[in-house]
Amino acid sequence: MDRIRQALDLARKQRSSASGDETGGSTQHSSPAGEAEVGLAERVAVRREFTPAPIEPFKRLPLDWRELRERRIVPPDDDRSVVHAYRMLRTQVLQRARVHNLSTLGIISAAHGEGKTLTAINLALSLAAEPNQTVLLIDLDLRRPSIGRTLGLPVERGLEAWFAGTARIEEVWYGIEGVERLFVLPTLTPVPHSSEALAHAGTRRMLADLKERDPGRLLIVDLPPALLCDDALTISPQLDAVVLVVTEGRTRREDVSRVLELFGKTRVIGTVLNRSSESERRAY
Amino acid sequence: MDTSTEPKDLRTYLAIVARRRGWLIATITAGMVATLLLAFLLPPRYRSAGTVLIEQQEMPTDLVRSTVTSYADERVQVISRRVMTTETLLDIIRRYNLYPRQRARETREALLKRMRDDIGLKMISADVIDPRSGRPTSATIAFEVSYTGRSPDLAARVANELTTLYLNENLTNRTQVAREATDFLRSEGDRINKQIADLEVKLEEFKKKNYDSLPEVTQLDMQMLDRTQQQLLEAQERLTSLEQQRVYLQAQLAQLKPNSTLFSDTGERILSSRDRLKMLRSQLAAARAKYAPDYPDVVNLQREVDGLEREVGDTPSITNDLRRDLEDAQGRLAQAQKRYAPDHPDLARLKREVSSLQAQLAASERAPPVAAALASTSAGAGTSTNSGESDPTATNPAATEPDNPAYIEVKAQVSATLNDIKSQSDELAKLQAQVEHYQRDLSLAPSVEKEYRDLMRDYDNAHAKYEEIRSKQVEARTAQDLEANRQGERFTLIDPPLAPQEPVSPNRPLIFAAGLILSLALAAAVLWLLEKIDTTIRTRGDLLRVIGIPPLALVPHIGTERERRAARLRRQVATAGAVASLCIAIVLVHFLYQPLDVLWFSWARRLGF
Repeated sequence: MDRIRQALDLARKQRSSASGDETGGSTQHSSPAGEAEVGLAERVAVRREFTPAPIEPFKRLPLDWRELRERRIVPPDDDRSVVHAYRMLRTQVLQRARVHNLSTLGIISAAHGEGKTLTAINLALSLAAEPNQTVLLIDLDLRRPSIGRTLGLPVERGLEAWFAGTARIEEVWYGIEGVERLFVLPTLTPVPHSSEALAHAGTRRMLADLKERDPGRLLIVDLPPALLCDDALTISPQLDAVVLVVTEGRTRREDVSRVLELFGKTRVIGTVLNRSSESERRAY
Repeated sequence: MDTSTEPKDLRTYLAIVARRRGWLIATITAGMVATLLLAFLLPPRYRSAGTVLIEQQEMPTDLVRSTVTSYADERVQVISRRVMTTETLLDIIRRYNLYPRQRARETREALLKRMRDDIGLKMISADVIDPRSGRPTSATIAFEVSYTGRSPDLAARVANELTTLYLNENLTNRTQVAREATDFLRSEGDRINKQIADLEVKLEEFKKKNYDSLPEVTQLDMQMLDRTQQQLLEAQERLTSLEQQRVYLQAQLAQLKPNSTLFSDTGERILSSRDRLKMLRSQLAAARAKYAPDYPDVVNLQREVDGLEREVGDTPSITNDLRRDLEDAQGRLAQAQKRYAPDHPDLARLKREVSSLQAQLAASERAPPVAAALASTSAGAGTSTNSGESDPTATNPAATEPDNPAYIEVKAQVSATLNDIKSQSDELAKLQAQVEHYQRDLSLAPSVEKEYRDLMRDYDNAHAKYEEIRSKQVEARTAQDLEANRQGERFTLIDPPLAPQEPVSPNRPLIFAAGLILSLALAAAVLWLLEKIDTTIRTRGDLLRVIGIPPLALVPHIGTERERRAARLRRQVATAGAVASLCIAIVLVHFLYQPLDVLWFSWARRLGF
């Protein structure tokens, strides 16, 4: 399977390098992949029936995986045991998403520094490794945006430009080299008046638009700490569900309870326990 | 949320320990460092002890009994109190310069307390069977005096001083007690001796005063009384018989004529001139009674009488005669009185005659006073002659002397009897006086006896007590000699205090052990406290309890290569540092404190290997 993926990646690289420059004539990015796999092709065909696939000009950005490892990013082909943890998370998230027809998933935590962004990136990577599943990773932590930085994306504009009205959404939409079903909407610098910006109807429209463009695509939204500001709460009605990130030895029980009160038990589809000392997967 | 509902198993605790190992190590390290500092910085203290054996009296107590009778341990305690006086202790502190630092800033009481705490007195007992009661008991056979000080030498010196104090105090105490006993007994003996002397004097005086009534003399008194009474009776009887004899003799005398009668050859009685005078006088008296004075017969008679009177020249004989007549008349009167009624005519006549004779006698005695006096004295008392009127012729005194031998003899007998009577009545009086004396003595005897017995009893009591005290005094003297010669129970120093080679404190192993345990306990307490304070989510169970659903995934810590490298580096550096510091410490100890081999052996011994 790895060999197939490598071959696909190679092919995709060649094509994107060919069509990336000629922006106008660029085709939908997912169609060649869909052609490669029968199931995917079918699904893509179904989606095309609902939404005319917009030509989305995007750049596929290279990632320095070695450096990312140092930032605790887990590549899908990693052989560490932590991969299994994220696979477990991915599978459960997918199951719930399918059962409840969820497409937008917020990643929140009670306080700062509990590994939201990391979880969002790793979950997105893991989901993107699943065949047929495209994932869009959106950084809506407008106060301390960190996805771009963490991934080390070599870009100049992000969602802050879109919020500022200086860029279209397609202009800050990036693909990742080697992970073809993963797209990123990073935010590079903090957005002033983040709460108002998130509450703005444009944001709501933007999210709805993103959902509509590809209903099979999962939107993973990185949010600010739920108890430190109201941003997460503000945006939460636009999201289908949230995943609460909890760090062992760091998150307080009362904070978890508070988050549950704020968001409502039903909207939190699950939690992730970071830095857990008890591992579910021992030697396998 | 409450953590108490969380089931705690060993893994939980291990997890806690693993999570908090930083705290754990820090706490234990701090505790052990403090312990080490305490163990090594506490000044060493050295204890030196001397053992004193309490030796029982060697001489059998049946032979000599000591006057010191208190129990040995009791005495040791008493001595201890005496030794541990403020003065003594302060003196020792000053002389040996004890507690130099504390002396500057502590009160005297605190210093004394320190000193008393450092001095140890331990009784060494042995389980023995009491020979008297046969029950097992514990007897103090020795005791140990110790002192704990800052240096071995000092401890030994002070312990020596204390031991010496104990020994000396015991010695002086025992001899003093023995001497006090002797002194007391001696003074008591003296007192009783004096009492006895007083009693003796009193007894002597009493005896002297009441000699006749003393019980010892009573028997004699009674005998004497009996005998005297006997004598008295006899004397009375004798007196009675003498009286009878006298009466009889007097009666006999009355019948006898003082003068004997002369007869002529013709058988006619030859009258002496005196007799003739008497006869003539009586004739004259009769003639006068019958005739007138100038009657010739009367005149004749008168002349004849005068002539005879001149011849005789003795008037006293007249009175003698008169007296004899008077006596005769009186005798007859007495007989007549016995015989007749008082109004009998003879009786009246006899009375008249007697009175006439008395008158004549009085007249004749008055007429020639000198001659009559002479005559009366020579004539003998009580005898009177029957005479009428004074005979002027009877001038010769010898002529009137009684010359009748029978008369003279009887008269002598009468006089002897009278003498006897007199002497006998004297004796009677004497005997009566004696009887009275004895009776009085005997009547006094009971009261005297009581008093006497009282005195005697006091005396006997005092004497008995004196004897007792004397014997006790002798015993006490012996006991005192016993103590003086140290033959009684004595304290013997069998183990003199030596300078100890090892300190008695601090007990470093014990401090280590206690410190370790305390450190562990402290660490446990710190962990417990941290767990109590910490409300963060620790396990998936915590999370489950908070939100009711299990977490979707448990993501372990994602280690980075950099972290691993850093950790590896840290470990290496730490190991190297530890090794290096250990080496440096060992080298320092070896060169600065004590060579390692010496240290090894000393510690091995100290830890009991």
